[in-house]
Amino acid sequence: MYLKDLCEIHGASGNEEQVRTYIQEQLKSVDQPGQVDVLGNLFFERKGNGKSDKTILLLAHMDEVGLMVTNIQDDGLLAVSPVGGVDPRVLPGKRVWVGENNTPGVIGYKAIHLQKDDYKTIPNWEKIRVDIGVQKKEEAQKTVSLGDYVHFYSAFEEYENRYVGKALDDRGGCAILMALYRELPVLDYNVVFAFVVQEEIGLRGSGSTLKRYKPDAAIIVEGTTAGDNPELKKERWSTHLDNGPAISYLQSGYALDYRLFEAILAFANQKGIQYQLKGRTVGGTDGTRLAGSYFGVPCAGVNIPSRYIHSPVSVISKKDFENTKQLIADILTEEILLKALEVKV
Amino acid sequence: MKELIKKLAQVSAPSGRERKAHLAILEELEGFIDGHRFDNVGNLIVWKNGNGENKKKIIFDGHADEIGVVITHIDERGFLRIDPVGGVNPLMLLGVLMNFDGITGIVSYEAETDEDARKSLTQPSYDRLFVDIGATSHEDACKKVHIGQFGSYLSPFFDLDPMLVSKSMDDRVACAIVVQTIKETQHPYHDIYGVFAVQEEVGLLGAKVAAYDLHADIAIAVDVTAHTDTPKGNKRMDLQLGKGPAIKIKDKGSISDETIVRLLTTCAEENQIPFQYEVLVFGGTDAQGYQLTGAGIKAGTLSIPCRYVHSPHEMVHIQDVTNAVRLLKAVALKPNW
Amino acid sequence: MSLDTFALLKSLSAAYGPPGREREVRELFKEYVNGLVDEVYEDTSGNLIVKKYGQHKGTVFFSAHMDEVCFLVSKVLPEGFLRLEGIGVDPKLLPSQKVWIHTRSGKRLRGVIGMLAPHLQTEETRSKLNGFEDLFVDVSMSDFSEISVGDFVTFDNESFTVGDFFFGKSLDDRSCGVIIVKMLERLSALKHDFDVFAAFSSREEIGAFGARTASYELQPDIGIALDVTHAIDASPNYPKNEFGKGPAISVGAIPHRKISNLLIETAKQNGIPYQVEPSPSRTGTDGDQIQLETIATGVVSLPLRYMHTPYEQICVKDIEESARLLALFVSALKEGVV
Repeated sequence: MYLKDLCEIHGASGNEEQVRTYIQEQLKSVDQPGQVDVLGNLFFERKGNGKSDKTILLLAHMDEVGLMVTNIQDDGLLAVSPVGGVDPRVLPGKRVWVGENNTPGVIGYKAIHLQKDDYKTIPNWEKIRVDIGVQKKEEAQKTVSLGDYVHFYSAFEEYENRYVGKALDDRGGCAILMALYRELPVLDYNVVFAFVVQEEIGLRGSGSTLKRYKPDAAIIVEGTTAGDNPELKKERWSTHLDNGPAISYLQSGYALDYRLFEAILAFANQKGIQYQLKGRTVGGTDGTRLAGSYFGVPCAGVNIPSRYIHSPVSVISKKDFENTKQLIADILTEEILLKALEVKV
Repeated sequence: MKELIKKLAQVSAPSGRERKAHLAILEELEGFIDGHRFDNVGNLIVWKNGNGENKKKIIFDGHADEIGVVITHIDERGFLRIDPVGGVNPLMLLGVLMNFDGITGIVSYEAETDEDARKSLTQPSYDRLFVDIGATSHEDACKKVHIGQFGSYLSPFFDLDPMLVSKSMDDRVACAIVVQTIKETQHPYHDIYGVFAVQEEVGLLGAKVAAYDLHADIAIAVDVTAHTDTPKGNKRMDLQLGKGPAIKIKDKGSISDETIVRLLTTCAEENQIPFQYEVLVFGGTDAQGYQLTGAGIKAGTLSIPCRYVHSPHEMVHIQDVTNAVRLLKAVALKPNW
Repeated sequence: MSLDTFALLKSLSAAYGPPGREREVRELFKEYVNGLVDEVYEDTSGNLIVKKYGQHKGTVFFSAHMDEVCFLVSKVLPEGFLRLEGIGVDPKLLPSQKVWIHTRSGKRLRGVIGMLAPHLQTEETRSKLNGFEDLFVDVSMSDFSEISVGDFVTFDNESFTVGDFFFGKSLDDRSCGVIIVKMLERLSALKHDFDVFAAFSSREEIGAFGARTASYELQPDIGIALDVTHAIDASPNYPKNEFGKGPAISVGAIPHRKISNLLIETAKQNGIPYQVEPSPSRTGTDGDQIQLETIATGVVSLPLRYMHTPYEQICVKDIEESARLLALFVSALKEGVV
């Protein structure tokens, strides 16, 4: 079961090596060792049987949000800065792993007894400090360096219909791609599986895909935000767990390709496949990068609804996970995307 | 020219749904171009070959998309929730008519208490807006519209000679200018590419890829710009309707290439076409996309001063428009620069 | 013949070069690299590209931007006053500044940004934060009929030195252009397997347009952005970069690990002082754009105080050490290093 392993591996943006190694080890074969480019993106190509020269790209990002050690204080405490969008409010009282040695640390917080006016102020980056159990800068420097990555401590947990873990955005997408790579038969056309880097700090890895491949269309598989909780009114949830794969039509910087969107909906409706449409249009994905780079690639988004992304504890529905994988598999085997692109304006 | 502007501006085609605008443009250009195609993300590219000995490849760009909204939710009683498509200030939508492929809706706001109402009217937020299409139930609404459906302003065209008013002068007036330029330039010196780009309003997406294979020498984006000639208009800028098209020097997206500024200035002066220079303290145009294409294309913007940009009723001066056509024609015909 | 660093800085600092209008600076750098490189040309984006060939075992690319922060005339008011739009400048710097307005016809006209004397101030105006909305330029001393909307405006351009320190405008980022020149001087005497490309780049201050397009065209194996960084307590969350301690080498997400390590190794092995600058996200330099072209990127920064002001401050010794580091780094590059 790839998902558990993937979620527990440490791989914040710029530090994806272990994630990549794991995926490459799991998927490689003698004639398909996988390609790695200079930024660390990983590609597996499943060539078609030759009937068509078209290429469909499946893409998920390997990186998660995390922290970086940006200063080591004289008292041995580490100042950190966010790698990707991390809300400092999720940090007080959490365990972390620091650097390549996986030095255990804790983000302590001033005891409630000692707080006065600051009881009412929210945590900020000036207050958040990682404690690795030393009292002096020199002690800290024995195991930790400036620029070291700090990852959330979060054991993966599986329940009857829930997975709980860190980095479900977007290891969920990676797990689906891995499963599809294993399960899909050879199709009439080529499929490229791209595991990309540095999405969380500005969609920085996906553009490189287009230096190697000229896909005719792409499906981005993200762990997309599910706001379904008592604090947010229903109309603004974006997605709801257990309502199926979430299909996007508009996101930051890109209105996803009309033809692909319509075709996927028509297909799902026709087959009675459960899906939901995203109810919010904030946030960007690698679709924006692919559609807006070089020659442009029309993209579709088929995503796993995920609660509490960008925190140590995310939650997804097992059913959604399976159904998202299945929908993508069906879209590919039924050639939905290629048929959609043939329609003349 | 007025009929052309009216035809293009009145089409409903927000970012991502530009097809109707493209079809209207192609209809107008039939017989006037040497070819057309749609690229991978849906940009419409038309071309007209030049006959000059030292001809260059010139892009004239007008973006085909307009701002709009998209339906994100249909509630139990048939009211719609929306998110913006492009930079639509939610305060601009209060009480406004929207058009969803022929279905009309009125935008209104939540007002559970007086405090609530005040908040809705002074603190813009899509969380507090909804659209009323007069549905009698959730089912009724679902028969008429669907989640993921894009809509635009519903707002007519007015001829207030010399001013013209319509929704989507941004950027259909530019599309009309490019179309008219091509129509009036039977024998251009240079190869002309008319690019009717998609998705400018959500992030200049189309312009980032449209020119990738064209190997153009220069690109001139045509777009609307702001105005300062109304009561207590912005005190720091200087843009007046009727003073001529504006040769843009800078906005927040790019600085026009010196070559383009000089070319436009020279053509304007040589042909006695009135113009003004523009420094815009916000905003961006497709020119930025062209400057970043591949190894870079020298690009700049020719602007049409416009009042009430991104509102349902945008106003331009007809002579600024006709002068822009004259200016672009002059560029298409100017042999050496 | 080695060019005097102080002389280079003085000329470059005084030169006129807003984003997209860098001609004067480009001409200077063209002069300075004469004899040090095999190829020099201006590309479509306005970058000055130089190439010094090695053994063609790979290519390493350096980028330092030519453009300076400045202003434009956004409105011409009657009786010799102007309104401004700024590029990268804090308006709090403007009261009592002398500026130059550069007209279409190529003239350089004097303007001053006045401020009401204390005698005429009121309680209310005394505590007002100046912004571009209320600031204006007085050009009554010049022939202001020549001035039009869109004319560029730059800080007065005198500079001075105190010991090893140089004070002047536009050291962001022309001081790093000087590092490239000094590095090329050193490379004349060193063997290097890699071909060395450099861009004195355009329009970094409005989005690194020059670096992006140059990277696309040149497609180097390695790309190093040279820019300035703050030599003053920037934040309690970051270490302080100091003068005289050498260049700051960025480590983190965008800088490629092998490149940062190689730079640090080179410094250690050769006794060159250096500082480490942790970088969790965007670097705010040409490097961000270089990386997007799928290039192993590095960022090396020169410590500087009072960034984006008329008197930026740098330590000339840091320039020399940076040039030494980069020349040795280049000569150590072997095929297949990334």
